[in-house]
Amino acid sequence: MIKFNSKTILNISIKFYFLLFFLYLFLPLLVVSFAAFNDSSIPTIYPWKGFTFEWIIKFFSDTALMKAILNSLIIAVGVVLLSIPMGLAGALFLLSVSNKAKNIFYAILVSPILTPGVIIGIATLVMWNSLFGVSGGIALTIIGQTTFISSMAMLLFMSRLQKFDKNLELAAFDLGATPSQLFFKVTLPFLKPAIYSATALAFLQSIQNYNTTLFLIGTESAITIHIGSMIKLGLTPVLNVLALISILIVVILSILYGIKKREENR
Amino acid sequence: MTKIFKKYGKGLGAYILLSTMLWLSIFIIFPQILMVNYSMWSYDDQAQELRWQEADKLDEKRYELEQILKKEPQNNSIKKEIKAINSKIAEIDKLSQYPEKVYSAKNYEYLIENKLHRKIFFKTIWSSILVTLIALIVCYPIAYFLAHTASKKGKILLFIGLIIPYWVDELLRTFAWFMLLSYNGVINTALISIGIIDQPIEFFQNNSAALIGMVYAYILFMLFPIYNTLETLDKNQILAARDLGASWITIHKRIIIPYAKPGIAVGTIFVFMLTAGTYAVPSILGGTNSIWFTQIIYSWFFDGGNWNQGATYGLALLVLCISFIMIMLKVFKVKLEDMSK
Amino acid sequence: MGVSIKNVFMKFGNTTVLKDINIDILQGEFFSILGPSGCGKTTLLKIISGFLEQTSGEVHIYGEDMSGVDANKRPTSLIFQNLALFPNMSVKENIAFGLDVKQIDSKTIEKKVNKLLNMISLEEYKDSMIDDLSGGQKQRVAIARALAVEPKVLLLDEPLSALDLKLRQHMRRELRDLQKLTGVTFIYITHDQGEALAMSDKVAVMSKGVIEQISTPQELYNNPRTPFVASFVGENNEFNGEIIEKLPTGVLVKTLYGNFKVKSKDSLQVGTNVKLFIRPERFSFIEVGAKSQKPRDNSIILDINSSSFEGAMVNIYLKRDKNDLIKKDIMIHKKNSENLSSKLSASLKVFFDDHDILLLET
Repeated sequence: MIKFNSKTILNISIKFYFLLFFLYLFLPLLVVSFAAFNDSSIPTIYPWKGFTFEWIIKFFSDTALMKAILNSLIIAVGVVLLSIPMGLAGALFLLSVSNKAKNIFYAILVSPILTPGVIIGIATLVMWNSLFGVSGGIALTIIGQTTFISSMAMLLFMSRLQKFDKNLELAAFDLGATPSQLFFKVTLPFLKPAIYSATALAFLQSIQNYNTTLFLIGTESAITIHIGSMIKLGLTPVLNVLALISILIVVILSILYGIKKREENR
Repeated sequence: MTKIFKKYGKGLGAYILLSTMLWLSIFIIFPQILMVNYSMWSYDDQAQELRWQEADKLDEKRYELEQILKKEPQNNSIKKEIKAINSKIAEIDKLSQYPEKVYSAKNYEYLIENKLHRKIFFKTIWSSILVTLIALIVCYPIAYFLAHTASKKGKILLFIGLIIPYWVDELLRTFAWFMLLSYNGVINTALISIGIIDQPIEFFQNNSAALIGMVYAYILFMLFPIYNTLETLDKNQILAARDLGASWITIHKRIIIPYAKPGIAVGTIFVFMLTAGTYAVPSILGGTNSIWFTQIIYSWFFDGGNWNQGATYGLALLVLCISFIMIMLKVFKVKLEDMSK
Repeated sequence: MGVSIKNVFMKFGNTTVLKDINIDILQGEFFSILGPSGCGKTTLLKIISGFLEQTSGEVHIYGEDMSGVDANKRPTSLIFQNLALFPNMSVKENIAFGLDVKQIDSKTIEKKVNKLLNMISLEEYKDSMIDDLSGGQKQRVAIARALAVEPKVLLLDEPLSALDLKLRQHMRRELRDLQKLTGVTFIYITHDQGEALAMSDKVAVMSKGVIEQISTPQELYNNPRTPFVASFVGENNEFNGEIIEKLPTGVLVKTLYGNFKVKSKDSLQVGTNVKLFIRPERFSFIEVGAKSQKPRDNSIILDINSSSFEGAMVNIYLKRDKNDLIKKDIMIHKKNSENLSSKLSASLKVFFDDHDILLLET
């Protein structure tokens, strides 16, 4: 016999709500993934016309798509190389200015996160084009993305630095370390986890960026831009293969992240 | 400033200062200033028009002279005249390649006076608010139960379940809904074969597809900030309130929601900003009847070739987002500095 | 002279935190600075270590004036309250840090680190990370790290405060032994008078930015020179009074509880206001109504307020007169041998010898 008191009803409705929410999140992703195997010329799972690997083969022989992926990787590496040192410098800078100045600088340095990506794209394009005659392309895309990805990296560094025991600094100094020795031997090793996560974040954000890239990529291609034009002109299940692969990568990354988090909790 | 050098040494201090100033100026501030500057001028169309009129006249005259020249090929004075006209036309051509800039409020006036664009701007505001509200209402219970009733093991599992869709590319997630909602899409085909409808629903022709896509694309930006703040809430506070006889509604109203304010503020700001500024979702899930403000901006830049007008529209969007942030910070009594947590 | 502090003043804005501090510490001495929190002792420590610069005055270490010398150039090492061990380094790397940054060759470092590891008997933990150590082990690593740079002076900022009672008492002995072994001058900051008395060669008592007394622990307990020291170091019972008569052996002091005979060498004037201090263990007492002995000087009858069992001792708290401005109960010790605590009657008659009273002018 199941007794329906208010607590069990509450419990069941919570579980039902969670279930609905996760269905809502995952069903579209599943639909996209399965359509990669459907032997149909347009991406769909219904009607199911038979199982095929055709689209997966076509995916790897799609040179334009491969070029777009390569470009995105180049952009992402560039963004990481610029935004990690810049975000770190920003965080260290904020640590060493007076409180009043800190608030102003902080507001300016985080503002790119709160600005729509479209605006960053426009502003970057307008400035570089009108002042230096630079037009859209990979370099300009790196610059535009770096603007706000540096802010994200800076926030990660700041939250890590908040946990930094100031006495460690004094202790190192007391033991005769110079400021730069202190930084490279104590502060930087302490920041290592934040550097890793900032790098991962920067990479992911760069690869997936659309709004800023759209204005800055010029005649070059990037993966998100390519996806955008594929959907509008020339949609084939090759796109589903791309979705399937990126979903698989994300799943693996998330599980690794979960394992790491579980170890931290212990 | 001298503190930087004292704290980090000369080399490192110089790097920190230089790098931050570079970021601040060339990456953040100057581009915005130039965008504002662009919005304030336009090319002088009138001068250009006059030049072209003059060129036309000269062209006509040249034609006449050429006709005369055909009859009297030896007429040197006409030859000279034609030469003069040619150089004049070349000069005008050159000038019209670099038209004069005129500073005026013209671009702003255009935005205000264009009924359609104005309508789309306000639609963007209302729709973004709607998306933000839906996200908040859906996410608050999820964030709360995730932070406070899930077991430790279940929490990590659920957490992974949440970051997977969060990390999948926004465009691909939108594409998923494109597949589901398109005219011959999964939902329409399914509904027809079951017999619920006999004509496919045109989701793209009204705003519904775009709105569904936006909620889906940005909902987790609401969930994570709220979850992060709620996770640090001491569970004993809730128990103590229960013990003192407070009802669930009172507990949420007096303890949990006030505590979650910074998270709610951050989530609200992000979802609104992302929705108002999205180009991907409406361009994929929108039809001709559901144009988004960002799409107009894009076409000013790349279809219309009027960057000045585009910059003005961009500025309008920026001002909208800044105002929204200010209002939210005021409403939730949160400071920008608290947001880094 | 090991460390001498001359006329040091420290001001933060308008508030004076340290007022004319003068301390001389001998080489190889275990010197404690004792005071309640907020008395300025940590500020003084920061001035000695070079993290703060005094407003005026001088600090000399082994004869050298330290003005303008930065913390990383001073021959001092500081042990922090939370130890501040580097969490990203192993035990060995922590100890080697101060040598490492001076770019000493690795062989010398290795040798030195091994010697120190031996001294703190943590050889088998040399590759452990800091978080894997126990509280006491961390303590020892912190000391070894500080000693590795061969400081002339080791400054310790309440390093035992985070440990539990048992370990704290054990570490007191260990610290003391280490100090004797190395011969390094220790300056130890604490608010715990037990620690200061147990370990130190000399103790300076500080209150509100002023040095109250500098002397050996015994002297400090037996002959406190100011009312603050008398009440801060050890338990003490305080009485306000006024000298009303000069006696051949001392003076007669009038208090709310009657006139007390007090031994005193000083030439004190009749009419002076004084404070009397009597340690709890100096009282004798009998129960009221017990067979009365011959009448004695310096005796009072007081009601018992409460008592508390402390193991070897029973503390008995006696009610003060309701007109007394001092509200703290009078405390007396009673040895636990006679299991009397349950049978205590309502009042006690307490008495004390004239040489058990400390008299200080107010």
